[in-house]
Amino acid sequence: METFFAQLANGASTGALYGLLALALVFIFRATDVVNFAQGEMAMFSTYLGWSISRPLSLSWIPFLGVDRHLNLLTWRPEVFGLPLYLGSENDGLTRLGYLVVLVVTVAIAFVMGALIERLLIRPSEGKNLLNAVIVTLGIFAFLNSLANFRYGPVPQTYPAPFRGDAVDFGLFKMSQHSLFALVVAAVLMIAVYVFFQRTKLGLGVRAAALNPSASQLMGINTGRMLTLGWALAAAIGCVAGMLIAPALSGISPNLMFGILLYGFAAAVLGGLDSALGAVVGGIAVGVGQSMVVQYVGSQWSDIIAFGLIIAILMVRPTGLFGAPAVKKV
Amino acid sequence: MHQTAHYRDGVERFVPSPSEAVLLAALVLFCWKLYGGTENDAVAGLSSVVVVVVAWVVGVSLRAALNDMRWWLLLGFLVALIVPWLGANTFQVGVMSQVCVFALLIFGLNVVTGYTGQISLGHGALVGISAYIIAILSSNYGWNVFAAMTVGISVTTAFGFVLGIPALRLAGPYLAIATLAAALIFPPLLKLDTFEDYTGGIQGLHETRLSPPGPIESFLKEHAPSDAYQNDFQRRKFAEESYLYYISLAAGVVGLVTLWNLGRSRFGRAFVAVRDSEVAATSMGINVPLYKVTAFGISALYAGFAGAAFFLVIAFVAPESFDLVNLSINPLAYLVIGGLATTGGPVVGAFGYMWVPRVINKIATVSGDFDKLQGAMTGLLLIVVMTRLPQGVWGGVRRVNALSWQRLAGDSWAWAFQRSPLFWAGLALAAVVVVLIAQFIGTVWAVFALALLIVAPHDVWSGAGDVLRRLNPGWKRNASIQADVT
Amino acid sequence: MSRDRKPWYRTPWMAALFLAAFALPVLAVACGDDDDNTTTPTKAATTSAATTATGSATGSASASASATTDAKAQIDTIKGDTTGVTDKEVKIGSYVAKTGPASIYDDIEKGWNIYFDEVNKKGGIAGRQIKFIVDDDGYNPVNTVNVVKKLVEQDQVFTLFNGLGTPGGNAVLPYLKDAKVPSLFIASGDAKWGDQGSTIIGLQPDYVTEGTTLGKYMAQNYKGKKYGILFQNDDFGKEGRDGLKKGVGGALTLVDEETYEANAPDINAQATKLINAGAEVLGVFATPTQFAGALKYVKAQGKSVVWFSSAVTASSSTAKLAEGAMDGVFSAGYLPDPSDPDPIVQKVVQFFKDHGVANPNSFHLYSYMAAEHLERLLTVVGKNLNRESLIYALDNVAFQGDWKSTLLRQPSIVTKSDHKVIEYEWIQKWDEKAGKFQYPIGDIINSETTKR
Repeated sequence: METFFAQLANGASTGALYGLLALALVFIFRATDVVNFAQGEMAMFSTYLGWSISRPLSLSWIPFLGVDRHLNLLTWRPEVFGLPLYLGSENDGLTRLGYLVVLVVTVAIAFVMGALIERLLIRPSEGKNLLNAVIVTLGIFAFLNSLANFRYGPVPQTYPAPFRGDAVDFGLFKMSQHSLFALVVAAVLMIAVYVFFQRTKLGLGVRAAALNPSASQLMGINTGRMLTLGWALAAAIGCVAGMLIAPALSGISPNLMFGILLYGFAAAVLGGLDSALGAVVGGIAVGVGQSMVVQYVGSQWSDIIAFGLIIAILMVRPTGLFGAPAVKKV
Repeated sequence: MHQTAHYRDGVERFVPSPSEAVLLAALVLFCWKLYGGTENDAVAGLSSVVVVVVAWVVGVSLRAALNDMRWWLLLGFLVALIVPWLGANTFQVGVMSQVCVFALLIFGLNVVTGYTGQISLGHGALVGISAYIIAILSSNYGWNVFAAMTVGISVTTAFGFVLGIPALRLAGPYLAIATLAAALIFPPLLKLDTFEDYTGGIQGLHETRLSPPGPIESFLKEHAPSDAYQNDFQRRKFAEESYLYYISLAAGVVGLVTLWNLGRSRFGRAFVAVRDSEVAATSMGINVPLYKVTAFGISALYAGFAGAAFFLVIAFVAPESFDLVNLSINPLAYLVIGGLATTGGPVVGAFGYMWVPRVINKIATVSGDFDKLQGAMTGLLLIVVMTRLPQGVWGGVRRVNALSWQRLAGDSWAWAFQRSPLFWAGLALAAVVVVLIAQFIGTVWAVFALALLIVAPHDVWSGAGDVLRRLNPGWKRNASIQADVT
Repeated sequence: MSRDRKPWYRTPWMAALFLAAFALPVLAVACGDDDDNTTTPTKAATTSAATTATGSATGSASASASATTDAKAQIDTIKGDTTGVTDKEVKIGSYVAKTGPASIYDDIEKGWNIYFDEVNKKGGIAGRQIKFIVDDDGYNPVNTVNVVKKLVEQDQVFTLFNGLGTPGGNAVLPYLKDAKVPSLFIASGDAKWGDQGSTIIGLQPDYVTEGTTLGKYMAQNYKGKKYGILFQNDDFGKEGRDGLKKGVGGALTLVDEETYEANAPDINAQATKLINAGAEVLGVFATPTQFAGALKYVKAQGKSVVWFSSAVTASSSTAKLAEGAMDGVFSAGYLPDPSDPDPIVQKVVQFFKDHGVANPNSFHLYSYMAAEHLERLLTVVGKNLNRESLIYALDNVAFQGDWKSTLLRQPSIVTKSDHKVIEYEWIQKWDEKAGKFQYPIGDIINSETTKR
């Protein structure tokens, strides 16, 4: 029994990571109708940007700034009302406040990056064959992966995390603080995405723009802006996912997201591509399913059974567990 | 038509387009440098001019004759026949064989994705099944290769029908991920302990390559170009590679012809009808489920042939060979790049699939700075082609072909004439920047910048304008040329 | 009329002007190219670090020459295939993974390029400059076939050197044998490279040997306990598993063996299964990130097991990723880690730092060692370089037990019947506090097949 719960907890912590990325995939699918193969690499790249600002950062490449300018969050002591803020120290790394600063800055960068990608690269192929946009995302995938390899090198690097203490004991099982944090963030983001789409006017606009662009344009919705917003927000969610995935997988490397992306796709499809709840539940289901197959069937069968089950479930429910049934338009 | 009349009259047919003018200028320069060292200046200048004029006249007559697509096809086929003698070495011949192999795979994808509109990411597994069955039957059970191929291709086709079953219930991205799951299941299955005795597990299976029958081998060895293939080993390799090339070429040509016919047959039209609207297709009496599964079956037939040719040409199968990116995602990407639902598009795609990585590798190895940016260059190429040629390369060719070359030349001049001085000043500035890069940072980066200018002229030249235009929807694009083309 | 008048910039004169403005810089580029293409002759630079670093190799080379004078004299008489060799230059090819899942190994290629740049600056070997042609195969065997054919047929390389990986190596093996192109010091630990005929040779101890070494140590020190094996589902993992089982024999009881696919994000489920099934000792053949993740996970769960890991994960960079959880992990090793304070190691680390590598890692040390082997071989062959004399020197002169690489503990031995180069390993243990490996624990275990 102890083993069962240990595997359950273990599967859920890995599944939360799949769910986080799946959430970004679902977001972008709902907002723009595009299956984004570059989601993982966008998350990876922005996570790397977060990594580079969480360590001493040389600014010498910016002209007119002086040669030896550095930005170092670990030693920087900004004062608020006369009180110095401790963002980190050389020995112990970032404090939680420092981590929050890095998170906010990185998410903001990711937001802008997503918006720029949509405006410059996705927009020209919009309204054409759906596959065109997919191929463009494949191009972005290759571009960002290679750029990260070029800029940061292939060797994995350690990544800051806000909670690094001992595992929390629940009696039946233990779970690391970081995994719990990831689960909580996944739940919060899931609710936020749900509320955004179902309860806000902006979310309604985004959905309308994706569903029927010409009609929503007639209703006075700026569809272009909605699409940009969709990409930007999805990139931001992906960035949060990346910043939680990197420390959970003990470090960041350019190939960090490849495995996660495949399982994230599986999770998103399993849960239903238009359901935020489905993404997180699907992710946890895939994670737990893998753990259980490893425990009770055999690890060689892990991928075979996991993906086989997904095909089987889709055959029964063609739009995933929580997806709305497809309506055929004439 | 008006266009035809347009190019028959007058001297306009001799007007070069701006890009051709630049090419000619470069040719003059090249000749000048070629002759400049040995002759006196007057002779050098005169001969340069003569060479360029001759080149231009030949070019103009050729382009008038070749405005008809069928001439290009014939020319392409004739060139394909003598590829072993055109290639500098057997490596290049081998790559051309693989162009044929992957053309077959992309033809298959075209049937299911291009004509029928069902996205499949599982075709890598189909190629793998075919190649593996042939390898197992011929190496473990000592079957004749061609008998093994028959079985392999039949079984693959059957699997294709099975892969088509999800398409009955699933649509769009759901189908894509379901087929992707099928592709992901395949390599771990090969590595299972249960099957290891048959599949060779992670070590894979080797097969001796098919060597040509005696008379063909001796003929090819005798006629191998003597400067490139000097010793007996090289001539034997030439015979072997050429033989395999002709087998693949035959398969590729048969595939191309059948695809061409399929697109115009009852089946092809039914597929397109299913793609465009299932409801409308049903109401016209098309059995949609049947045609969907048939599309997968036909597509798997092509994939089966591709697997057989893969087995002949590569002669080695291992689980790593059938990875997701190389055999499932990249062929689909190059199909879209080439042009969906066309006959020429897949051929262009297969060429791109084999040659783009090689050309990019060539560029990348010019300098150590670039070797890790190969992926970035490939990605950039995908993005640029997809955004600039939404119908794929073949769609672009068709569009250009709808115009006479003369119209195009005239329009280009008109276009150039309509740009503001600011535009040309910017262009000149860009050119100066390229020169400066070449002078101070290095030739490699200059080549890269120049390549950017050539590959994406529209992006670089009016990219800034595009950005501004997108930020200010009030601006209207000058639509005259667009209207002419479509 | 005035309404139809063209703006001033649309007159033909202006058009001509613009065209000229466009064409001139283009022409200038075409002309200006020459300056960059002309190569200035390289002067014999004497960088002190390079001299000291490569000095030991050349020093012992002269010592070996006297020992095998007859065989050495023989080399100069052998005639053979000189593809890729001129008096000024020798072309050497390699297939590596600069992209794709195995791109982490790219530092190896960077490393030996740095090494041979130094050798070339000092005049090369026997008057020849070493020119590398390195192509990326993305760790896909189909690509490896294409890349190797290109290297052999188009670039006409003399030999292949340090090609990366088992799947690729497997795929091109029949071709290379057929073409009689040597493939020297393949960067793969598959056991098969030891017996593939005269022109094929591996370098590092194979995974089976490594597993056996670990297994024997387990059998001696943890007799009667239960153990489990966790391995990557490829050649590396499976051979390591086989070796480990062989080494353990019946001394420990095997609880279970678990595997994972290379793209799996973590291996925690497998580790949980083994530990909960009662395993007290775990043998792991995995890659650094997954292994570090499992170490952290098991530590956080409050379990204690004795870990045995392969050399692939035994490095200070893995320890950094594991954030303290690697303390006390045993592994097999044959090459020191950059964290080793030993002055010889630090000299090599400094060599790479002097050449622009910020943090030299274990791959750089590996590349240095591999490069030394190639340099030794080419130095021994000397002026009369062809494929036959190269193989003759490889089997009979270069590695006869009188030369060892700077970083290795024991001389490399190669004979006609023994194409395994490094055949010793030691057991080491990571010491988190000291930030380095404790080694060797016990004796250095030698599985040398050549008796002398």
